[in-house]
Amino acid sequence: MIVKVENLVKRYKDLLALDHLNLSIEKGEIFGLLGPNGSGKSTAIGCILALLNFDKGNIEVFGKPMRPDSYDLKRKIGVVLQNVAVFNELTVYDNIDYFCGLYVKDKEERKKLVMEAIEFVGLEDFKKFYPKKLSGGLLRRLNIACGIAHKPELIILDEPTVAVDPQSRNRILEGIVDLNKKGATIIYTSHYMEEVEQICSRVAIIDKGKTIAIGTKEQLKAMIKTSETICIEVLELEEKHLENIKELPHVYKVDYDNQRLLISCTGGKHNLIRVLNYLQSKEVAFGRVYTELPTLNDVFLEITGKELRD
Amino acid sequence: MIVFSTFFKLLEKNKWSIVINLVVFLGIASIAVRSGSPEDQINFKDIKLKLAVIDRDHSATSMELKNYIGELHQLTELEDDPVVFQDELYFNNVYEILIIPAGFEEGLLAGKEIPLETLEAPDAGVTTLSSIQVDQIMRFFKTYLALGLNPSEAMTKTKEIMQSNASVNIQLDNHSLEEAPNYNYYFQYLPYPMIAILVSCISLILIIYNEKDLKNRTVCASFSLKKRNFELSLANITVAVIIWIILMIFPFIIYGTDMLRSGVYGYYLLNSFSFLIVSFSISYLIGIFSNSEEAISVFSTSVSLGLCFLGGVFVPLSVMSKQVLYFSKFLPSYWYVMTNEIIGKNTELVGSDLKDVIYGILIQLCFAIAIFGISLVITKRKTQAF
Repeated sequence: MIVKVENLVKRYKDLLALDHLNLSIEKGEIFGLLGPNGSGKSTAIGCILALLNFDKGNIEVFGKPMRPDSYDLKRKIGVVLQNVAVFNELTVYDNIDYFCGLYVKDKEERKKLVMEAIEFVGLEDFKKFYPKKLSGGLLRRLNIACGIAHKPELIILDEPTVAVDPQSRNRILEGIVDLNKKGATIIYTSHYMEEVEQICSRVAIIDKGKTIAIGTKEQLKAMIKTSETICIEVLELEEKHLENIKELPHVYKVDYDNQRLLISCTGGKHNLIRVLNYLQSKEVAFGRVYTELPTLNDVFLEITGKELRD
Repeated sequence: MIVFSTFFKLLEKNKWSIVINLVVFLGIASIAVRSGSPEDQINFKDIKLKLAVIDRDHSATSMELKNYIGELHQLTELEDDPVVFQDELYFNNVYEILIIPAGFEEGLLAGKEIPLETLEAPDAGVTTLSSIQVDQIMRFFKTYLALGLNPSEAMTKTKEIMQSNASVNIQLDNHSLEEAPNYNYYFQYLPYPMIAILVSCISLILIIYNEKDLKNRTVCASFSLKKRNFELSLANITVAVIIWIILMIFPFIIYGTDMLRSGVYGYYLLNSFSFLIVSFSISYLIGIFSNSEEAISVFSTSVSLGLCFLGGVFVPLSVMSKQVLYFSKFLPSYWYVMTNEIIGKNTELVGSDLKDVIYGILIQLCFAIAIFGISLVITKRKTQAF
């Protein structure tokens, strides 16, 4: 077990930020911490890193209690916090060298590590640039390089892709997967479910400081009723048809809005064929037809009754 | 020593601010050499006002009086016309018009009170001088006439008595009229660049290091906060000492090596070094108290100017009121300046002067300790809040 969080409680005066939060992260995982803004993700990370005091609970990292002076543990951790934390007065190279220098004393070794980090995030052409001259995406990459240059065993990334263009986002996500392949365990927090779905092997969904679901993506999706959503573009549809479609096997919810018919099915085979046969038999004209598998957003929606981005 | 070495990389980005402060200070110091001390500038001289005298009596007495006023001031001939008077006064061509009325001589000889009519330019405060002078002349003149002298003799006597000068000494304080060497003024102005440069070097870099996200990242690292603070303090002290050495080299460039033979050079060094510690503590406090460059700019300007004006750096202590001086004693700059003045007026420090110098230096160090204490309390509170 790399990280173990048990019954963690953190209060900010009257606000309960973490409410008996439980997490366990295994070696080699890309563990996603998914939740809307203000759900307690960053507070949880702050507590794990001993940046924040907590009121109750227990945190162990690499099997040892995590305290502000656990420098032997901190040596193995790399951190990329939500806000870009670099010196605007130093160049890209000097920034990475400084943060790497907080872990690695030897100058020669550091030089090698810094160059590797620069190469890893693709900032070779910007080594002598000052952060103010970098675009948002490049700045995020620098932020990541500063956190991983010392080759940590556990990397904690707190919303590393906020306000990043799609190209840079993909590059960052690919990089994270690459780091994981090289042996690093990753904790990845985000409120972008697509990112978490794309890279994480296991996910904890948190809301209001509580873990509401935890497991692999498949396990989480299996927890909810919806297994398939059929979408059909229909120009006109009478109310009676909606009632009839709802009576079809495995269909548990039907919505018609903006000429778009949405049919949520619980499982089973041939759901789409049955729906299309019905529409054809009633001579209902339809256009584009497609089906969607459930997403983590559906999981969150079904458990909490609200969207991840609400 | 990654924190230590990075401090100097960050400092390099502020080099122009330091250079500007040094250049400005050197400029001020050079000007001070040319113009002498602020106390040297306390002197007086007669001025001549633009006046007009309208003689409506045309007597020997009135002519004597007009001629004498003409010797004291710059007379302008005007037509005896009220409209002309108004115009000339309005445009400040003359500041005051004195009108000697008809029957002036006759009245004086008869022992009557014949006042001169005066017209003054609006807001011309300077006419107070001429009014007092004319009043004095008239009093002496009437006295001599009453003693039985004729108008011509009375005016001669009046001129004699008006020209006699009284010797006036203005005793500003026990030492103010003693001469201090030129380089003393360099040391007197030293607190200003010291604070300004140290704030640029220390406060501005401290806020960078203490920026929340950067500090969080450092706290997350396997680098103890104690070690970080130690390296940061070491860098700060190194910079402060380098700046002090530079500031101690400048007087040799401006004034030569005379001060080495002054007998009190060591005390100049000691006093300036103790104020360096004060400036360092102030910069440190500003650095941990502020959260932006703008806030530092506001603090440093108000603190440095406040300390320099109220502490006697820019305004000599000898011309300050008792109330201001009472307040100044609560400022470290006052003790620096006071100590500097004592050093400047001696070629050898012994007895009470030596005691006063040591006392002044110790008080400055007490201020530094108190300011460091406040900084530590603020740091601790900030850490607890975190």
